[in-house]
Amino acid sequence: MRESPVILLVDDNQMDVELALNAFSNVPADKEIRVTSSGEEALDYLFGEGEFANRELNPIPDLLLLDLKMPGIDGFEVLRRVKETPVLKRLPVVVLTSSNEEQDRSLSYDCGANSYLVKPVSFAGFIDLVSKIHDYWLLLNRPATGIANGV
Amino acid sequence: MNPFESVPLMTAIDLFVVVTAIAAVWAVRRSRSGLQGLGLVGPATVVAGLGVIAGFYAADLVTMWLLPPVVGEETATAVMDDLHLKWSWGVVPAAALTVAAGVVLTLNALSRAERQLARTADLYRSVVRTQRELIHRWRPDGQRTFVNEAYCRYLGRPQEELLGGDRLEELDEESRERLMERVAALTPEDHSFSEELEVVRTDGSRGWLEWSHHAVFDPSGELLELQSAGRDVTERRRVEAEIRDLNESLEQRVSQRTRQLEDANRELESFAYSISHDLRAPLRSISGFCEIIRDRYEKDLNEEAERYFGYILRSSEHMEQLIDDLLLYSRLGRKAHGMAAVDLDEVFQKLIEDLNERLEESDAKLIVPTALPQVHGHRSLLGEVFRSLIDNALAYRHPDRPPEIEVDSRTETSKVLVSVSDNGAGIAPEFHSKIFEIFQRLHRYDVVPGTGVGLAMVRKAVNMMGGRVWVESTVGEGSTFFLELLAPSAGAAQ
Repeated sequence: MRESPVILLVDDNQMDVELALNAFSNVPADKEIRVTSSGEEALDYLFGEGEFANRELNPIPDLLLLDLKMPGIDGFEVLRRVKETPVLKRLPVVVLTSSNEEQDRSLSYDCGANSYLVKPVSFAGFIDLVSKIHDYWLLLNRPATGIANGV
Repeated sequence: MNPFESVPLMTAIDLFVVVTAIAAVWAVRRSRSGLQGLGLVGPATVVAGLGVIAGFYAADLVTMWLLPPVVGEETATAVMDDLHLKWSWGVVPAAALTVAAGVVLTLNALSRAERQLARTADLYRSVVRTQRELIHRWRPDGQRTFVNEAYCRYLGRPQEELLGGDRLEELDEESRERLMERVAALTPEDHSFSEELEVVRTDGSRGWLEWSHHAVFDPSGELLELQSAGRDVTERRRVEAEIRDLNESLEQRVSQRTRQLEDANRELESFAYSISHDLRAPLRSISGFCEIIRDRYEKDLNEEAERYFGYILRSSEHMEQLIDDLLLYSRLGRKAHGMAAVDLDEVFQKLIEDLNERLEESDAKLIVPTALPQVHGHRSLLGEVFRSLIDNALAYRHPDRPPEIEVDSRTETSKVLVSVSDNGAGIAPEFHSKIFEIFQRLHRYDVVPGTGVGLAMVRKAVNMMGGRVWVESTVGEGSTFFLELLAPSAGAAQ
């Protein structure tokens, strides 16, 4: 068992990734943040394929922070694949996106998202949001462990 | 010589002639009015004849009593014998003449009545013959018993061929069955019906006829014949069909146009959607990194640099607001559906709850009457409209006095007029229509914050609900925004 929880951040926007990492650095608790910058890379990581074949080095995360709008495989597709795979099904997925569109929100929940959050424009707001994500999903929330059997 | 010899005779003959003449004249006058008088002519003549004979006998009796005392018994008897002889010869031809006159008069009246009847029949026949309506009579088995000229002309067939022919044979099976069904349903009380039928003429051309059929029953209630009058309605049906076609093509064009507009609308919405997403991401980077620099390198920045970073951050906020408002404005169109009767009381109740804090902050007073009417509209659109108007009143307040906003309403037959008045800065007349245009602002952003979308949204929303909005204002005193909305009854009728 690892000491600190692992968060997988999936976002194709390098600057947003950096802002997120900056914001997370303001959260004092121990955590490890892994970043993938496309849907394809995220799936490779989650399924332990390609450069992420070593599960020791690339463990299944405790929380997935997922952007929606990405070229190629987008966030919805990643979400669908995660939720239809028994090993990953119970992984909490928090959608973190710029879009506040009703259609994106509904589709996300229909695909099995556990939460839907809109990235604030102001950085102060972003820091606040990231720390709340951390506190809720990694400290308060009690996840189910093990492999889900098909329901 | 008997001095009275010729007196009674002459009197009797005079009487006869006068009575006969009166009877004859009377009978002729009566018979002139038609057949009713005819029956009286014979009896009248006979009565006249009997009257004459009775007259003779009366004169005879009178003479018998008057003569003897005057001329003596003997002379009187001789005179009377002589008279009797003459009288009996006079009465016979008189009676015969009377009867003959009666017969002549009767025959004459009869022939006059016949002539009159024939004239009437001619008149009706000619009316029917020259009618433009197609008239014919036919038995329930289909055999024609009468056709007029128009009927023959229309079908392009001679009268001899049509008379006695079967009118049912010319119909197609469906029309024939329908016609027979309706004929079978006829009763003396319900004895007529109309129908439109397509006919094929001998030259092959087709036409539409509107028939009205009337049944003729005998006293026992059995159907004898049908009398049908037809009118050519080909032209009317052609025009009707043309109108129908035109309507259809118009509908098609309208629905096509609607589809195009819907497509354009969707495109615009997806454009607005992608704008909101695509513009927000770089904006976040700009403001995010600015904040990081300002916070982390505060010591290294001089006052000017710090001020500039402040500008960048304020501009980012403004731009975010613009993007949000633009999105809100473009999304209004989707809400036009689902209009209903909305209680303005409820709309304002919710609004006051939401705005309470802001009103207190600006030391503002909002006066809303206790009983506002219902309007035909969309609840959330109405909420946004009044929120924008109140926002506007707060933003453009007069610098020297706390804002006071008053809502009022008046209901007319099909409209509800709602006004929102403030005691703010007021708007110069040249801007009264301009303020409702999108991105039109009367002040710099740093003086009065805002995006210039609020009132544009108000106008768009009010228009979508079938109403209109305008402003009346005096600079330095305040403004009143008027909203003319549909009353629930007018909305339901739409």
